[in-house]
Amino acid sequence: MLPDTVHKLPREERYAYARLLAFMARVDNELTVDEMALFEQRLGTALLSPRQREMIRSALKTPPPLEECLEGLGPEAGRLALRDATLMAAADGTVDDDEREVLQSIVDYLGLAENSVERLLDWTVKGAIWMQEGFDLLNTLSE
Amino acid sequence: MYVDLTVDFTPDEAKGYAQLMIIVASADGALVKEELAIIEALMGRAMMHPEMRVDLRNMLEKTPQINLVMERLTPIVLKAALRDAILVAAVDGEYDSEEIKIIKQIAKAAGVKKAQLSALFEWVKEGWEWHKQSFEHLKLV
Repeated sequence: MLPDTVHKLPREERYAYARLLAFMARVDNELTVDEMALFEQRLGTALLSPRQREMIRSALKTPPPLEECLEGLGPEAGRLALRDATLMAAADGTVDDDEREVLQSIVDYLGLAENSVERLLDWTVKGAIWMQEGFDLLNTLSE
Repeated sequence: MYVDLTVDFTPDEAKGYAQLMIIVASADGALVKEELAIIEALMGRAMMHPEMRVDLRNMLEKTPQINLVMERLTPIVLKAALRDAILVAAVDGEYDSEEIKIIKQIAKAAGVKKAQLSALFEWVKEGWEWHKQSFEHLKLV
């Protein structure tokens, strides 16, 4: 929910970005409320049409293969999708081996630095702390 | 960690919360794509029903009156709206005086003191910094 550039991508790439997130959400075969909240938030940020959102939500039930998701992504869309896939992987509080493997596959596909996954996971932890501070702040308002 | 208290709002509370976001976004007259994107993101995060989102999008052209919206909301909804109103106001890169005026109105209705409001602005600034780091990691700057 912060200033982003996802909405500036071409429509097809925004759709591919959302499909990748749908894929990521289902890697561990579970779909938690946290993942769903993040997924819906990112669909909103991508300014997809209501029809596209419906199609993407159905992709959650039967996720497309990873290769197919990656094919539709340009360099910028791919990087933003990697970042948000990292957020998605961490949404339930843990990043399991399967999720880490998928993130590394995206990094390899995009030709990014070897330590990209670790750096993005560190960044994700910082974001979780920031979000928690927001909740804490709300709780203390006018106490 | 991404489930926000807005998920637990009643449909009427969720609607009022989103209306306040629309009021803030429309405050400076020009509704930019970044503001639309953040409103859609916040409605998504609150997991609002798709039909309610359609109703709310229609309000972008005819903004509701702030007092009528706020009078039916509880302090906790107003506080969440205050936090996110600052995010909406910040999203186009600068705070407009009309946006600040509305944020202060929400803060007053929520019973939030000046120092606490400043802390919220500071929190948003820190979030911006955090988010900007992702562009640096991805070499998108």
